[in-house]
Amino acid sequence: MKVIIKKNEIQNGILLGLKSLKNMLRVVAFLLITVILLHTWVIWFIPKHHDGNRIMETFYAQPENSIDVLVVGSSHTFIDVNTGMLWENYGIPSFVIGGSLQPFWNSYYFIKEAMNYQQPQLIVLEAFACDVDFDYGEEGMVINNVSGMRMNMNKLEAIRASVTDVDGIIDFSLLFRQYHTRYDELTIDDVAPEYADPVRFENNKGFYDYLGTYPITRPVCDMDDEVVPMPNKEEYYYRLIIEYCQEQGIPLMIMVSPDGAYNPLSRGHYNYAREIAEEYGVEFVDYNEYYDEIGLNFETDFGDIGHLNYLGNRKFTSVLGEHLVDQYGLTDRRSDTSGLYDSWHENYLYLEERVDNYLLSQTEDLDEYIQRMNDLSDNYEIIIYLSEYRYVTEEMRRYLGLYSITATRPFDSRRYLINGNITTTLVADDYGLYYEEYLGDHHLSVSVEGICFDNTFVDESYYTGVCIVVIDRHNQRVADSVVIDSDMVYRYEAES
Amino acid sequence: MLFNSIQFALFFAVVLIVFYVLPPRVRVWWILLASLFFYCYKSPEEPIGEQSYYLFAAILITWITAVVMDLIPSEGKLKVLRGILLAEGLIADFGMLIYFKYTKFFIELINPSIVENGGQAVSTDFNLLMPLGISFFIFTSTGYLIDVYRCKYHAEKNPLYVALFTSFFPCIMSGPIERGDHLIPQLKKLHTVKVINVDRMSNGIFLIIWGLFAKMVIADRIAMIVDNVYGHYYNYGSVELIFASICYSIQIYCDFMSYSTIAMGCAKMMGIDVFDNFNAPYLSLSVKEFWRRWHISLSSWLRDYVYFPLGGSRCSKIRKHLNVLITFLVSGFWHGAGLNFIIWGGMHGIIQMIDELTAPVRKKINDITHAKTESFGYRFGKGLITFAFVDIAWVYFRITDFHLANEIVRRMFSRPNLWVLFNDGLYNLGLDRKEFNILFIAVLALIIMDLAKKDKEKSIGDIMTAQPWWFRWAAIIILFFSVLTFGIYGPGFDPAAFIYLNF
Repeated sequence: MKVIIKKNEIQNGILLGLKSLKNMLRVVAFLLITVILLHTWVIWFIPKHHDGNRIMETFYAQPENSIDVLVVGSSHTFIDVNTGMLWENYGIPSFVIGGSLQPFWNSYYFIKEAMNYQQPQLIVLEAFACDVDFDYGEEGMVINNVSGMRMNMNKLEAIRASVTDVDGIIDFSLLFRQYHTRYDELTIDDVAPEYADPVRFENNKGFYDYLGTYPITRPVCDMDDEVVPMPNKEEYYYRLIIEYCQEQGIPLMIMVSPDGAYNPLSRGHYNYAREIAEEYGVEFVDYNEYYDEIGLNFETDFGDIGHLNYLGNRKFTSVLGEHLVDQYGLTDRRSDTSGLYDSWHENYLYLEERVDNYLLSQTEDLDEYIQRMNDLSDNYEIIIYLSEYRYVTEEMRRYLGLYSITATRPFDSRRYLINGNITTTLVADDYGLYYEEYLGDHHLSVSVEGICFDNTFVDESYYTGVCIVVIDRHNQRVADSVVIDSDMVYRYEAES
Repeated sequence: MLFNSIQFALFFAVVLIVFYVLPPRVRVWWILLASLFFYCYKSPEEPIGEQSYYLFAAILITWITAVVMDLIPSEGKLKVLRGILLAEGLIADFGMLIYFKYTKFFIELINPSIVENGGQAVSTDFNLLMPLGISFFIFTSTGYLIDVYRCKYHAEKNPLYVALFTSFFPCIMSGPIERGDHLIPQLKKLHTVKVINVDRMSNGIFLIIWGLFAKMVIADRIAMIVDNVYGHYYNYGSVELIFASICYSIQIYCDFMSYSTIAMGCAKMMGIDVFDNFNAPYLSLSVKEFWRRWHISLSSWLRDYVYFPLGGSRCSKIRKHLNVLITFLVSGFWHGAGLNFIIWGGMHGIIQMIDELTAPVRKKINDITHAKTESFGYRFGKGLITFAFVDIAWVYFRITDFHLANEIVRRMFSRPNLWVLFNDGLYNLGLDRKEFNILFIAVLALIIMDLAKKDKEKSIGDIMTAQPWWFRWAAIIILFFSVLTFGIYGPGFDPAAFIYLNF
C-alpha cells in the first residue's frame, strides 16, 4: 500500500513539474516573440533621418578604431566635407557626425560617445553652432540629434542638455512616444532600409553630396576682428569639447565651412570662438576667408544659400584635406591591405556614382546622353526596350548597333539588357517588359511601359521609340529612365 | 499618476516585482506603502500632497468608528450608541465630500434667494482643490461603516487592512467601489498568493492591455469627434449630432470601463479580485438592465445604502417609484455638482418609472399583436430603444448647460441631412479616413468583446483564461501592438484624464 502511495506521489510530482516546465516554456516563447516583434516595430517606425538616427547607426557600424578624422558639427559637415574625396585623394578615413543646426552640447556628447568605439587621430569641430541663438532646439531637432545614439549615459546626458524638464527627458528617452504615429507614412524605406539605401551601414561615412545648384551672390562681409560673444550655453559646451579633447590627448581643429549666408554678426561670433580656441592653443580656421584659394564659384558651387553642392564640396574638401595632411601629419591609409579601410573606397565609389547618376539624369542632349551611357562602368546595366524602330534616330541606331541591337523591320519590338559589352535579349510578355532580379539580399524590380520601375514612371502615351532604363547595380538604383522618340529625349519625374 | 502614463507603468512594474520578491508576510505593508505613494506623492518639493490628509482622515475615521461601533452590542439600550457613531462617521466622511464637491454648487444655488432678500451674494471666487477620487474612497469607507453597523461583518481591528482597503491603489481613483467583506479577506491572504501562476498573470496582463486599448485607441480617438462636433454643434445637422452622441456614449464607456479593467488587471496580478464594473451595458434591453451592467459597484452601492434604506420595493408602488427616483437623483448628484448631472440622473429614474408603469400596457399590446418577444428582432428593437434613450441622456451628462443640451437634442431630430452618410462628411468631424478606419476596427473589437461577455456572463479576463494559451497570448500581443501604434499618446497629446476621475 505504502509503495503504491509513494508511486502516485512521484507520478504527481513529475506531472506537476512537467506542467510547470510547459508553462515556463510558453512564457519564454511569448516573451521572445514579443521582443522580436518589438525590435522589428522599432526598426520600422523609427524616423530615418540622414542627419539623425541613420548617421549614428552607420557610425556604430564602422570597424572599430578605423576612423582617423572625426568631423563633428552642423549640417555644414555632412554636406560640405566629402569623406569619399578625403579617402581617395589623401587616404584619410574620416567620418562625419553632423546634424542640422547641431548645437555644441550635442556635438560634445557625440564626441564622448564616439570615443567609446574609435580612437581618431584628429577631431574637426565645425563651429556653426556658435552662430545660432537658442538654448533649447525644436523638438524635431532634438529627435534628430539624439535618436540615433545607443541608450547609455551619453545619450541621457545629451537629452538632459537638450530639454528643459523631466517630462522632456522621458519623452526623448522613450522616443517611441514621438514616432509611433508614423503608421500612415511608412514606406519601403522603413520596412526594408537596406533596399531603400544600400550604403546605409558600413560604407556610409555620414556625408552626402548636395546635388542641386543654387546660384548665390558672394557674401559681402568685412573680415574685421569685431568680437560678438556666442550664447552662454553654447560657449559652455564649446569649452567642454576643447577641454575634453585635450584631456583625451586628441588634436582638435575648429573650422568654419564656406557659408553663403556669412554676415558681420556671424563673423563676430566666429571671432569670439577663435579667441577661445587660441586661449586653449587650438587651431581655428574660418574658410570664409579663403573663397579665392578654394576657388569657389558662387554661381555653380552652392546647393542652397548656406551649403556647398557636389562641385563646391570637392573644391573645399581638397583644400581641407591638404591642410589636414600638412598640419596634422595624418597617415595615408590607402596602402593598407588589411581590409580595415575597404569601406572608404566603397563610400568613394558610391558618392561618385551618385553624382554620375545625377548628371546622367540631368542630360537633355541626345549625343551627350549617348556619350554618358558609353562611359558608364560595368557597374551599370542598361535595359533597352525597342518599341517602334521607325522612330529611332540615326545616332541612337548607331549606339544600339554597338551592342548588336539591330532591327530590320519598322515595327520590331524587343527588349535587351546591356551589361558591359554583353547584350542579352530579354523575354517578357507582350504588354511590356518586367525585369526582376534578386541582388544578394536586395530585391530590385524594374518594369517598363507604364509600369513602375523603382519609383519612376513612364507615361504610356509617350511610349514609342526606345525606352532606356539605366540601372546602377552598385548602388542598386535606377540611375535614369528616358524615352527617346525621334530626336527627343523624354524624361519623367520620379513619383514617390 | 494616470493609468495610461509611463510613470504608472514604471510604478506598477516596481510594485509588482518587489511584491513577489519580498517575504510574503510583508506584502501587505508593501502594497499599503505603494498605495499611499500612488495617491499622496505630488513632487520632490512637496512629497505629500495636501489632498492626502483627507484620505488619512477618512481612514482614521473609518477605522476608529467601525472598531468602537463593533464593541457596542447591536441589541439593547446601547444600540442607539451605534447609531450615533455611524452618524458621526457618515457626517465626517460625507462632510468632506460635500465640502469639496458641492460647496460652490450650494452657494450658487442659494445666492439668488439671498440677493432677492436684499442680502449680498456669497462669493464663489475661491478654489477648493478636490482630492482626486474622493467620491470613490468616501463611498468605500461609508459602505464599510454601514455594513459594520448592520452587523453584516465585524469591524477589522488591524488599521493596516482598513487603510489598505480604503486606499488600495488600483481602485482609489476611479473605483470599482469595493466592499469590506470582499476585499479585506483577500488582503489578509496576500501572503498566500503564489508567484508563478501563468493563468492569473496572463489574465491580469490581458485586462490591463484591453483597458489601455479601450482608453488610448478608442476613447481618446473618438473624443476628437465628440469635442469637435459638440464644440461646433451649430455647424452640424442631425446625422453628425446623432453620430457624435453615439460616439460620446462609446467614449464614456471605454473611458470608464478601461479604468476599471486596468484596475482589475493590476489587482489580479497581485492575486486580488476586484469587482468587474461593467458587463456589456449597451447590450441591455431596458434601462433597468443597463444599470445592472453599468458601473455595477456604484449601482449596487446605491441599491444597498440608498434604495433599500428608503424602503426599496417592499412598500407602496408610489413610494417604490419615488425611491427609484431619489436613488437616481443621488446617483446623478454623485457624478457631479451640476444641474445637468441631476437632470441626467432624474431622466434615468423617470424612464424606469415609465417603464414599470407601462409594463402591463406593453404586455397587453404584445399579447394582442402576438409579438414574438423572444425573437431577435424584438430584442434588437428593445436594445435599440434602450441605447437611444441612454444615448440622449448622455447629452445632458456631457453638456453642462441645460439649454444647450436641449438645443443639441432638438437639432438631432430637426435637421435631417442623410447625405452626409454618403459624401464623406463623416470624415470631416475630427478624424480623417485613416483614423476613422482604425476607430471602426477598434470599436468592432469592442462589440465582439461585449457580445462575448454578455453571452458568457463572465469577466473578459475569465473568458480569455478559458481560451487556449496560444490564443490568449496572441490576443495580448495584437492588443499590445495596437496600443503601441494606434494609441493616442506622446508629446503633443494632452493625455485626456479618465473622465470618471473627476467624479
